[in-house]
Amino acid sequence: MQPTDLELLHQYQQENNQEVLGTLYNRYIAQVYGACLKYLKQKEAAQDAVMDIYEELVVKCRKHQIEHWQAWLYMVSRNHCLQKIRKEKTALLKINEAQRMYTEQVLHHSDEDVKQGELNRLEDCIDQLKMDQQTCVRAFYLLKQSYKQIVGTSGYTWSQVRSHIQNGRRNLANCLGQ
Amino acid sequence: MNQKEIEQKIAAYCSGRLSPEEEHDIERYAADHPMLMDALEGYLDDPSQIDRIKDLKSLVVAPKQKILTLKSLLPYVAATALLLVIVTSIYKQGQAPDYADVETSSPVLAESIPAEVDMPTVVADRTGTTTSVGDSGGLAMEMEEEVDLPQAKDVSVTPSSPPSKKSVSPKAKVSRQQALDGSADQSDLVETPSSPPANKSLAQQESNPPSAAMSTDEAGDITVGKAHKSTSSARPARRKLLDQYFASDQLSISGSLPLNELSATSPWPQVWQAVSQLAKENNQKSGTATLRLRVDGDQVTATPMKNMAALTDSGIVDYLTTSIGLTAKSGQSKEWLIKLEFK
Repeated sequence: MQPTDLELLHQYQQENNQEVLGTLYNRYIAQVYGACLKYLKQKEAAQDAVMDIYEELVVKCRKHQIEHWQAWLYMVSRNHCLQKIRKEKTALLKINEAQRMYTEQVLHHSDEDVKQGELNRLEDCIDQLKMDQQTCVRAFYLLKQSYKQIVGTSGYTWSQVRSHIQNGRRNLANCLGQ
Repeated sequence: MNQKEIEQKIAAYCSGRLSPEEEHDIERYAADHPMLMDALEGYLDDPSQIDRIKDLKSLVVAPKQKILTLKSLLPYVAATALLLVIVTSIYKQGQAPDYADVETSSPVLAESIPAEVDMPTVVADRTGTTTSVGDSGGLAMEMEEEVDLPQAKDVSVTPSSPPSKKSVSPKAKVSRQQALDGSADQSDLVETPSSPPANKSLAQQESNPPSAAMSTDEAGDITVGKAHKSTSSARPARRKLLDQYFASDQLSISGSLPLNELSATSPWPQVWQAVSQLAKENNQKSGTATLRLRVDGDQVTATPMKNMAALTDSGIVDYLTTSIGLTAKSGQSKEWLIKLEFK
């Protein structure tokens, strides 16, 4: 049985063995690289970033108390990319401020938390969403369509669909939390 | 869903191999895992980048290297020696019944020589040279050569001189020894039976310009032959990596670079600058460095990827004496991620 992420992390913190950290990092390297590709847009820059992030981890993992490895790794990776964009002043994309403020708390507000008794209220909240968000949220959650299917029916791009669903989820969470 | 499954799903999703239901499932999952969502979006723009994941993984965690040592080779050496004795005995009985004649024509085989001494002779016979290496250390080195350079067509063996024979300052001694190693390896590649002794060859090597160190075979096969004794155990791994990344019909080896010839005006200033930058940023004695080389026609770009550990001066020397010139055929462009290990 393979050790868990936290077991590997603790082993690295105790033994300072980079091979252990490398094993842990490699589990997520596909996601880190993909995320870097998204933010940096250039494969060379993204590959550099993957290595830079690993270097950061070598130090930071020993300094920080980490309870949620995946979320923490994502935060480190994304911050690295955003800093790189700012530093080099070659940002090719405008980071949606709302998206940057997107917290793990909101992201982990899973649908299972929404109880049956709140469905009516949920429907009301959906109605309050902007039309593009409504369209995407309904298609994704109620019709269980994939992003690609929504792209085909709505005419939005994949990124727009993603953005509308994310923003819609956040607005729904805010609405339901009121 | 574990990370391996997620990785497979990412690849399948971005290549369009999932059904709409499966796509929806991964998107639902990704909705709660923002890093995965970002990754999906990142790969969608260029799904071919999924293929680079394996390369990146290999750069992060060094694979376990199986290092050939004299001890591990002893059974094979012994078996080879025994086989030689048997074959020789048969040969003697069939071709040369007169023992005195055999002794004259084949003194090596007639003597009762330990297995460690026999082996270099076997290597030398295979490669068509009359030079043999007598010490066991040399044996280990040459065995590695045989394993590492299956494509080399003109490999031959030459003895290398111990560094203690050189009367130079300590600092210069390091450089000279590295040059010596380089000289020995060049001899490995292009030595002819009439070559001068190693010491003389060293002097010539040190005075030669970089182009003199170039050694390519006619087919343009990779013939990386530089070595540093302190890193001999890492050499097969490094060569394997170099072969892996450089082996291509688009490339041929055009030369090597002695450190003292390197400068901003050297044939490979990009490599020099990149490795220098790595050295400045890091100051450890061993580790792994990564470098990205891009060849685009005559343009070569070397970009350090902020190595995970570090290079030392000796590491740099080792790398640069191991480094090779690359030439891409006109109109072709290619890039490599190179991992360099220094121990």
